[in-house]
Amino acid sequence: MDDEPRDLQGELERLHQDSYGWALACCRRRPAEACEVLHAAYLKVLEGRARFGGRSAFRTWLFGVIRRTAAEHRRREALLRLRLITLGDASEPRDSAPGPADRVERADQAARLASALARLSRRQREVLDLVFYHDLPISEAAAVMGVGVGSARRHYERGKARLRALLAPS
Amino acid sequence: MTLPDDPWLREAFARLRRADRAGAPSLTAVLAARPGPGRRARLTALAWAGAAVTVALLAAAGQRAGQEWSAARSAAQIAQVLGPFGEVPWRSPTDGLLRTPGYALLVATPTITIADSLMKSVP
Repeated sequence: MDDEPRDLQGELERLHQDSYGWALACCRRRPAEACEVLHAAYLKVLEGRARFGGRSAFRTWLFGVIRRTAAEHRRREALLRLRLITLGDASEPRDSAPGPADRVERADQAARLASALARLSRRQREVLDLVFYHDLPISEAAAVMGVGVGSARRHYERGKARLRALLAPS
Repeated sequence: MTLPDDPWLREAFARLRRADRAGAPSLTAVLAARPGPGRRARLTALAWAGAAVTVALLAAAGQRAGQEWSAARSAAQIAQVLGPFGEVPWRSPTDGLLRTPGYALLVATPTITIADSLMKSVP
């Protein structure tokens, strides 16, 4: 079955903005980390290490690849934190210094939403981001997340209720 | 207290999306990005750690082999010095003190012999 888009790079280009937004959501909204994850995910796609099987929309599949790459990145970072791998230098650029995206974000009301999202569980955050940010139906969000529709719906309802409570004007 | 409804959430997410897009790097920039210096340094540190472990294992193996070889060499030297005596069973140097008069009676069963002349005198 050869459902792979002929112009992979063109497809990635077309979806790049959405992919970046999704990578941010998968990386606790850290731009540097999101770029690193996106870079690794794009390489997987372009080098054929991740192959599109045509079982879903290309975007759904690509989001799944980005999500898995972010999970691998998180595991590696967790190992580093546990010092199972020798730490390199301390001069690695972290996300403490606000980049242009951060500055815009903090200047906007969106920062409030971002901080509220950070207080949700990962699954709740992911499903809400896929539904509200990327306008995916819950069934597609479930496919991206690799969970059943029922499970995705539960995370969606609970996450939405919690987010509403967190964003409610006091 | 009024909770935000779905349209409100959608609008909030749309604002977040606009902010993200304003700061998004281009696809070319993302693809051209190389692993940062920190990651390279981590990989280098990992390679050095691997090399150190390998050297330590080789050193330990070498030391063990050396010990075995010197033990074997010592055994060979001892055998060479002892020569044929090396095969003589070991005896305590104070063994002779136990050889008191009548010792043979203690370790040997006596045999009773009857002289022929005595046998002839029997009717």
